[in-house]
Amino acid sequence: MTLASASSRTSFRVLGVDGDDDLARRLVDMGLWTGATVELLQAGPFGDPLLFLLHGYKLALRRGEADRVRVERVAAVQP
Amino acid sequence: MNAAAVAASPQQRTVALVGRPNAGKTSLLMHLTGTVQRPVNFPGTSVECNESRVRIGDTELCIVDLPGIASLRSISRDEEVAIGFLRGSGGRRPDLLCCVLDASRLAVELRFLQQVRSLGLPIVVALTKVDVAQRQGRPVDSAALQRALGLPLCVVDAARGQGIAALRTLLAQPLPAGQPPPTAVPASGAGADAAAISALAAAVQPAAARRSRSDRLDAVLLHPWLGPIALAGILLLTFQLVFTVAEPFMQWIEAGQELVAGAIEAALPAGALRSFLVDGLVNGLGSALVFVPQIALLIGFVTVLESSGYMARAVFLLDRLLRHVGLTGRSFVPLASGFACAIPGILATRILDDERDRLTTIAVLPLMSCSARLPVYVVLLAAFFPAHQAGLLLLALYLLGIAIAAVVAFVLRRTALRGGSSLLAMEVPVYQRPRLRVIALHVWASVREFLRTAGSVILVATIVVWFLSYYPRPADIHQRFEVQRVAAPAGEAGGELRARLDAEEAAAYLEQSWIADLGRTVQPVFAPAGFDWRLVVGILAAFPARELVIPTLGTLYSLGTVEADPDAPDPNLREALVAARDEHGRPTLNGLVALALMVFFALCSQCAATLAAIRRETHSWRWPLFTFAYMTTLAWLAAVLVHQVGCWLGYGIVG
Repeated sequence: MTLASASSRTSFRVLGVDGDDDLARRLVDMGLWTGATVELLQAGPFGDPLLFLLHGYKLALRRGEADRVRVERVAAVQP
Repeated sequence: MNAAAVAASPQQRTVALVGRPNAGKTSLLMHLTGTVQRPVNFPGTSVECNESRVRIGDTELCIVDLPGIASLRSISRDEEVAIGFLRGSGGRRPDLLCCVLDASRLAVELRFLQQVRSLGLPIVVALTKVDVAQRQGRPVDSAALQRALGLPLCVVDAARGQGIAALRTLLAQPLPAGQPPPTAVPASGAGADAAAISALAAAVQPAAARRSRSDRLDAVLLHPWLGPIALAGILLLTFQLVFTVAEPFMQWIEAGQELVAGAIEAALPAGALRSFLVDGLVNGLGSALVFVPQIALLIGFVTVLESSGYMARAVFLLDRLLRHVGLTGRSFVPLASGFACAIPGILATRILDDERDRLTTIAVLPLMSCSARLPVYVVLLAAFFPAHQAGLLLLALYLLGIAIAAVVAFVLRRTALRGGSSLLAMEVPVYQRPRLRVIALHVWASVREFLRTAGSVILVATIVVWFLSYYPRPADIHQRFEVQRVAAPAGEAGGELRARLDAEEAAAYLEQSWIADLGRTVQPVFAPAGFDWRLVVGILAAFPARELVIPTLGTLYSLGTVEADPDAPDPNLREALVAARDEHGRPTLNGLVALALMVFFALCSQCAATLAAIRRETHSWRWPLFTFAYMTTLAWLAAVLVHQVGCWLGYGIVG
């Protein structure tokens, strides 16, 4: 699965970022490297963009951008 | 070399401030050196950076504030220049790097540091926002971090200036002999390295446990429907404040202009020199200065919103909407500024990474109804429409600009500026209290920029328009009016008549002037829109600044001096506009023609300063010329459409 289909209150582990273009590099530079833990906080007013929590900071990604990040579900996050 | 020589010529050391965006580099530079000196351009590029010098002991530090970079692989133009400088490709290479790391997102910052170490330059680490991490319940053990990194490290508070003295000392220390070995970083970020960084970050900073104040604010400000409502409220409040707070300052500037003009009129006899000084020079200076209060306030508020962290939330809320028309959430900041004045908006487009996004935003920005259009709308609406219609029409004129901007952006992104959509991938920073000093600095820099580029253009354009409206000045007009003035009864009784004769004389001169010739020559082009030659002269004279159309029409309708005051439109001008007749005794203006004129002003780019700002920011004449051409064409088409449809519906002038 990818981050675009992430559900909230769940933490995910990054498996990798697809492609080797500017976007892929930017995503890794922003902290979405293999093994990083990510959590979806919320979606924007029209369901896009998405707001994630990773490494203790908040990152906004468009759905198309989040779709490049392969993840696996780790655990439900306590509210 | 002896000791005295060393003291006389301190050792020069170039220090580059390196950091990811939002790490707090610029405020750090301000505290390190006391001031931020004038921004300098990187050789051969348009990218600007701040450079300041400070002397510590025998060492003179030349500190260069590089644009924020996310990694050593460039994506934007700014990043490319910054990275080029770090690699020494410009011929000048820093001796020392001051790597600014944000403690509230340590893992990402540590990976960045890892990349920077691969450059092989000596590094001093400045750890900022430790207090933010503390409040989030994730305090950083800086001593453990320093041991693990093996680099000189100093905790600083870039906003308040704490820890700066210690950092200065570290930066002035003797450099380690020999270069530190470059460390390789795997490009994918995968593997043992990323794991090691995550482990280090976890070791010196425990995981977050607390819901911070930022999170509680975001629960409202990023709420799916409360968020947009709050955004609209914040914007309305900002504009309301900009307009109301700026008003008294603008009146003072106008009063000052009148004072100076009055003094010149008292000191000099009537003639070309006096007219040049009063109507050209002083008027031009006043026209430029009168924008300063609004620009300063607007930049102040935008900086508050930006440095508090709210702007990133606004971008998050609006990205989807703006992407429909081919812009990005980040275009919002410059576009919103455009409602006060296009020039700070055009400067604000520097925050857009993507060149196509930036050019699209610049090209549609002048369509936002700026504050200089407001007096034009208010005078014409008050003259020809009842109050209840006037309010709606005013709103419609603002919406017209926005709608056309959306269409133009949509078309541009599919034609001249076609290309893939830009990235959003944006950090949403923790809310912070804005610092007065940072705001003051931004405001001052923008005002200086405005006066340097826009101000000089407004001044020159005003003088050109003065020249065209003053000359050729045939002598017989003066003789004709002088005869009547002499015939007028002396003293109080003739005062009113003499004033009327003066106004009529001014109108007669203007009718004979070169600008009137130009207006009459161009008028056939505007005939389908219903504009007579006087309105065309008004449009031409408004090129230095839009609101100048009002005083020009005032002179043409023999009113003498007319103020373009949006709160209290001159009742005489209103009546004169309604009563104006052409040579055949037909009215030259009615509601329909006024509406066509307002629509023309809503869409045209009658602002020399805006075009100059576009020229400066795009580094070519192509974009200002394109903007002028497309906006004038659209404005003409829309005015003709309004007039023709109106005539067909029976609202035309019946003679």
